Amino acid sequence: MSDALLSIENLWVKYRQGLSAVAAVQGVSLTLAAGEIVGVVGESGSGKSSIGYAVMGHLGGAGHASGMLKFDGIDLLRMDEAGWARLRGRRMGMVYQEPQSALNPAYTIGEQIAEGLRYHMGLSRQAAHGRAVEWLERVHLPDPHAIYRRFPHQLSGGQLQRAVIAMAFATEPQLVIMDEPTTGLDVTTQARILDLVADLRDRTRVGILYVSHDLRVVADLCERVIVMHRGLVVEEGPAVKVLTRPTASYTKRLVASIPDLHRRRTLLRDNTGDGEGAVCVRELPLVPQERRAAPTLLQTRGLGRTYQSHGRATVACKEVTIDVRAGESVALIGESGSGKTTVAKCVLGLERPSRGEILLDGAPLPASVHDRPPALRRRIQIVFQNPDGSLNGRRTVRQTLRRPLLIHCRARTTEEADGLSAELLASVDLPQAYLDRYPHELSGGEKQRVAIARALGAEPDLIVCDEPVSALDVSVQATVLDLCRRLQAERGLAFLFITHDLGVVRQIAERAVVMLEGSICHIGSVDSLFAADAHPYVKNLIASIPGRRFGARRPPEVPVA
Amino acid sequence: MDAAADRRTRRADLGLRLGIIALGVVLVLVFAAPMLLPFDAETMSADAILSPPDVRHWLGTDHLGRDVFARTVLGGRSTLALAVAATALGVGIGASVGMVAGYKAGLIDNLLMRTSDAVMALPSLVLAMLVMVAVGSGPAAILLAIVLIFAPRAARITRSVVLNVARLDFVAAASVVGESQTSVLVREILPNVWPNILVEACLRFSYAILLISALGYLGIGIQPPTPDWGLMISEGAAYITAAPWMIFGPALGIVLAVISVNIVGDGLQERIGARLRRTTAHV
Repeated sequence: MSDALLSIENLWVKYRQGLSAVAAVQGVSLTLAAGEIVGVVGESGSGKSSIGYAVMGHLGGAGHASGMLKFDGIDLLRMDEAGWARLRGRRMGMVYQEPQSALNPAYTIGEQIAEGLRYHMGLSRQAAHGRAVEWLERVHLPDPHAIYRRFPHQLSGGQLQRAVIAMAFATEPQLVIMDEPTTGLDVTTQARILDLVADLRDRTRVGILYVSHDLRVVADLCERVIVMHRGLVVEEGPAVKVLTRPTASYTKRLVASIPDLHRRRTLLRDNTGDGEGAVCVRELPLVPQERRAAPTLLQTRGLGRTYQSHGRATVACKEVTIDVRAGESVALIGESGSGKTTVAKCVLGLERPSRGEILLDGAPLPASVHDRPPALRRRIQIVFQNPDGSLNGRRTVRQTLRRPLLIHCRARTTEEADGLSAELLASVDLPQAYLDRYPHELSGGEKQRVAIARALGAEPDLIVCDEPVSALDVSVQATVLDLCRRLQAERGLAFLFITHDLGVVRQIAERAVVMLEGSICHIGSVDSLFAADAHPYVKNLIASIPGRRFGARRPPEVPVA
Repeated sequence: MDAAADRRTRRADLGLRLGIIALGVVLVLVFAAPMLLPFDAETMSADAILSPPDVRHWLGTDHLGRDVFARTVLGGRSTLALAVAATALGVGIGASVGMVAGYKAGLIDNLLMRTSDAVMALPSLVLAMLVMVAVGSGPAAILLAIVLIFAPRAARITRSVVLNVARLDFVAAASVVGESQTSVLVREILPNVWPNILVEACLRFSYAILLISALGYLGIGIQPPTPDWGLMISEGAAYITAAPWMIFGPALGIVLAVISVNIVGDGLQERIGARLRRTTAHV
């Protein structure tokens, strides 16, 4: 294509590791025209971010790019530092995943935007100030003059990302690279940021290279998409076509793994090990069996938690009343700051409620976990969101799994415990050989399985899952959800599933509780979320879910509870 | 991994080996040599006062005709033994306090840390002198002084690491699984903080050698006629023009011991840092 703004041909990116080199990108070609948004989709380790870094010349000391990389006719691989200084920030902008670390906490938001304008555009201090405020307004930040003087820690994540976007676009670049810009944000915030990006593209005719793991986001935003797997392009073409009618088996599997909003499905894969196997999707009954007969296991009554700091009281949650029946899985839905994690921590005894009580089998639970006798603690277990933090890096899987077994006298000797640990690993589909591994030798999904095995070791009645799959790749997500569902069926476990992803809710939950600003705004079956008379916030939540162009995947007739 | 960090690790590893060798030489000299010595450290000989180094007296003799080499080696023995005991006790007590303070937080934390702040407000030597005045001089008093100097610092360092570790999910998960608070501290938190404690102990150990020597030099540490590096330098200072060899032995002992321990400490720190980078690569 002759009018291409960015053209990449046969790009290889290698990282030196000791004496050998790892090829993160293996011969990728793509073109991007002005005013076009091209998506680069892939799971972790696919090399998608390395493309962005190569274009920005940010590979670092160990990285090396070869092939052809041209921006507006300029050969980027033969550029010296002076040339990069003229390009970066001026003609090419970058928006990172974590706005918190992209901004310097010691300067105000406005100063950081104005600095680029003065340096690159030669504006005076005053002109730069004016232009920066203008841009803050253009990214729809309320009261731009006030925001100009704020420091990064005084803004929410969504506001920060808007500021970073303003910074990238303020110097009127021709190309902006976005690396997972909405990954850490709430769905409703994400939807607004995506609208903003599309709007800015329409107004400025900037070419955008959008790197993401989320197929639904890419489908909504991009014209064209390339799907990457282990450094190779496995499929490319118009976004809607690739994502609704994928031809490559990897893309098919990826698309099938997206938790569906309206159908409960299980993934059946042939376990050849490398995950390349064909995928087969089996539908599960939409409405799971009724559990009205089951006795109530856990109740929270008027639960409230208020934090006092510097004389100010912040209400994390108030008047939260939830019932979980034995063997039932309840989803607790909410965005960051909605108080859902506080409720979970109170249930576990990791946080002391300010008011209200928690009943287990009708008997009140002591507020602190350390005041609960082991026999009580055993019954409620936890699986955390971040697989890296949930296991002790200094202890092997064997040492971790042994503890609940010994504490609760399921095993008297360590030999006995080791036998049971191996069984636990088998029940989460991990081989016995993993007993002697340290957490850093496991992948994210494997760590999460070990965390689930540890919880199972206590033989609980209820497992609280705090966003257990949100940090995992979508294909791994699906297998962990499958595991949870199977364990629930086999062991009659109850789940309190904290999540912000309604697709995950559909896959796992029978009932849903939606929290907004610390209070419950909706309780009912999962289907009732989609009912016409749902709470406006719930409707907004559903409308914000990316993947609108996956229209065909959303059945028109939504059953009403 | 970062190439620069890689290079730094390799250099520190080499340093670690050299440091261990140097420390080994010092320890062998100090703990094995006295058995082979022809002289007693406290035997005076009137016909060999202030004699310069020769084949008989390798490092010469002092103003009372005592063999400087024998005194250096024996002085090192008491200094190093005292330094090891004081460091282990001081850092051990401090680390325990720091772990409890960091994990329990709230009132207990405030109580423990404000107390340690108060102790830390006194300069080390002033604190040591106060202890000497209060309980008299002698090895036990020196031990107590150094423990009082080291414990608050070790507590502060340990507490800051514990604060970071205690908020991680696996600590909460251990409580939920049923571990007692002591068990959480020992099984979950300690393995993540002991590398830092070890490095602190190494660096403190060399400081302990200096402190003991300084106290000896000031005349309030080990009392004569027991040989002690600081005391020997103080005695030798009076004869520095007539018999410069008198301070050469103890000075070399201090320098060798302190430098080798410091190199080992730095090497350990870098090696632990490299391991942390490896095991927490995904965070």
